[in-house]
Amino acid sequence: MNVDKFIENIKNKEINTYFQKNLLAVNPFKSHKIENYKYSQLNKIDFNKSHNYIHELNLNTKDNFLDDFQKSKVREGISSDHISWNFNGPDSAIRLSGLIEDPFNHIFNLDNINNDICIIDLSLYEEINFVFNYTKNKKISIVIIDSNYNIHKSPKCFKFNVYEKSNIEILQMSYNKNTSLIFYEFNQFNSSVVNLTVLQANNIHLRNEYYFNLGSDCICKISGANFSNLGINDNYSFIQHSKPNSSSREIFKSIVDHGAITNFQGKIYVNKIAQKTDGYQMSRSLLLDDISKSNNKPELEIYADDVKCSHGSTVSNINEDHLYYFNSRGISSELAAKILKKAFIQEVLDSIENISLKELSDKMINEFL
Amino acid sequence: MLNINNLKASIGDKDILKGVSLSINKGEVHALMGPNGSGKSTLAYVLSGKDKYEVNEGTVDFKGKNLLNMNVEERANNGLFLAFQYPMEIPGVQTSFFLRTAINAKRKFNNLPELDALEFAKLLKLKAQELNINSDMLKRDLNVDYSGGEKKKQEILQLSMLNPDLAILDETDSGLDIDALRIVSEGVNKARNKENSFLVITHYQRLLNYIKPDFVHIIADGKIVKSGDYSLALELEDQGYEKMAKA
Repeated sequence: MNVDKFIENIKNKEINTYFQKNLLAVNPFKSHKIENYKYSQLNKIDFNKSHNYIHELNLNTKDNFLDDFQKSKVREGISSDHISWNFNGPDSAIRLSGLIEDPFNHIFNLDNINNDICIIDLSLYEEINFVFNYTKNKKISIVIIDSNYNIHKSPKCFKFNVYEKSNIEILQMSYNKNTSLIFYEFNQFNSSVVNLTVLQANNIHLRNEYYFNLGSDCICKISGANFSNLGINDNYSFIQHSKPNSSSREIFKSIVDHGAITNFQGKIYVNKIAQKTDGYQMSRSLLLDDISKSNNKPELEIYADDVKCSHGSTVSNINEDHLYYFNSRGISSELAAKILKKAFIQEVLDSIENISLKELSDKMINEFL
Repeated sequence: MLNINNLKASIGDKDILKGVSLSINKGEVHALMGPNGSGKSTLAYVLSGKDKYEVNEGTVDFKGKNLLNMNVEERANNGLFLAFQYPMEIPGVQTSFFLRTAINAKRKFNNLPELDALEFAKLLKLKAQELNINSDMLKRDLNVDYSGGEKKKQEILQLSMLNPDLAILDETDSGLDIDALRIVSEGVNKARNKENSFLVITHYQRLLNYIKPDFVHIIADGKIVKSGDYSLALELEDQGYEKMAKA
């Protein structure tokens, strides 16, 4: 199937023909087997035994989701034009491609890198598992580029061991008619900081899963934005507060139109001993037409009795009154909608700390929003 | 400038304007006063083109063009400006960015080159100083967490930057303390000239102490019931709406 024609079909609102027949079969909200939606399997998992959880799920999806994923008809004929952004970052940026050691498992010791920014272009790797270890106090920024240029369609697993008092910032960018599957596992040791920002745009089928295990006094921030998607965009997060005094902030924003589907399911899990946990989770969707869908399921599971946790979820169209305000100042509805869409995800962009990463994300926004 | 003739408008099934006629010439300032629910704000919204309201009858001529045929942004770009009673809060949009977008939209409409960042910053600094607005406020999101006074000042800043031919001020005085009222009024007075006109909507005569109108109209139950000069506002303050509307 010609991908341009396929996308043309989507734009012509013939979405039902493809996604709702073929891909909805793997919509996590339809099948309990691959998603612990509706009933929780958490009681079967021993969280003290690190994360065998991720492997379980991995196998599960290999059988079901991934087969479809790999057979996905839409892959045929996808142009692999790599949109090149000239990354004008500081000289200290490095591509990690030279560090390959093991064909199946990559263990990167980030301590050995003297640069402020690492760029990981997934198109350079055939491998599945990446393990990153970081122990330094100095903040390191990592950019993960996941575009259609990524010809190795295997799922990727990232495991980050963020040791005591270390500080990592990650920006994942998935774009350009992409289909991909990424798992993250973060083991945050005491007093560590992780700031993960995920931008997803113009993709055909994407699924990201985030598993966090927090020690005490940790800060964990996840911010995600997806927009201009062509098919299914799926985010699943699981944040486990294992020890006291940690805080987690999670914000996901979706802009959905042209019959695309976004799913968000996120859980904050607070262990019995994780007192003084401060958890916040918010998912917001801007649903621009009535053939698109947005499924949101925020969850809290709390066993400690002295915690502050909140969550929320909204779905709305662009505020008519906002549009009117712009119009009344002579700004066309088209331009106003563009500005308001950008404004909608601004909160996510603001969470990026590194200036070069901010610039990079701006380029992506201008390209696809 | 503006000629309203027998304008009738409704929202849903409810008739609000029941035949308003009003004529505003170049360089004039008109005040429109009336009790709650008389149709003051509705008139402002109908003129600006808000689609919630339906015009059932009447004509509105603005600078020789049929205003009712234009959409909201065409009206704005043709020189109509409405300063809102409750300015919208828009998170994620920086105030100065909004102002620049608005100015450039108007310049584009008039086939003028867009202002570059430097020219815009100069103009903004000048106009903001006149209204005692500090630059911090302009860096914040549009109207978000602004005080009532700051919101109104920001509206008047937009007015002075966009330099409209006809500005409608919808209860700009509500929610303002005395100092803010004076500053906002001074801003309006600075924007006044022989080429532009104002329609000032208010409940209270106090605002008119600062912005001296040429004409005062009293609206009640969707119709203009009395017109006169500034002394009408004083009379109104003295006697109250009920008595005046009946007379």
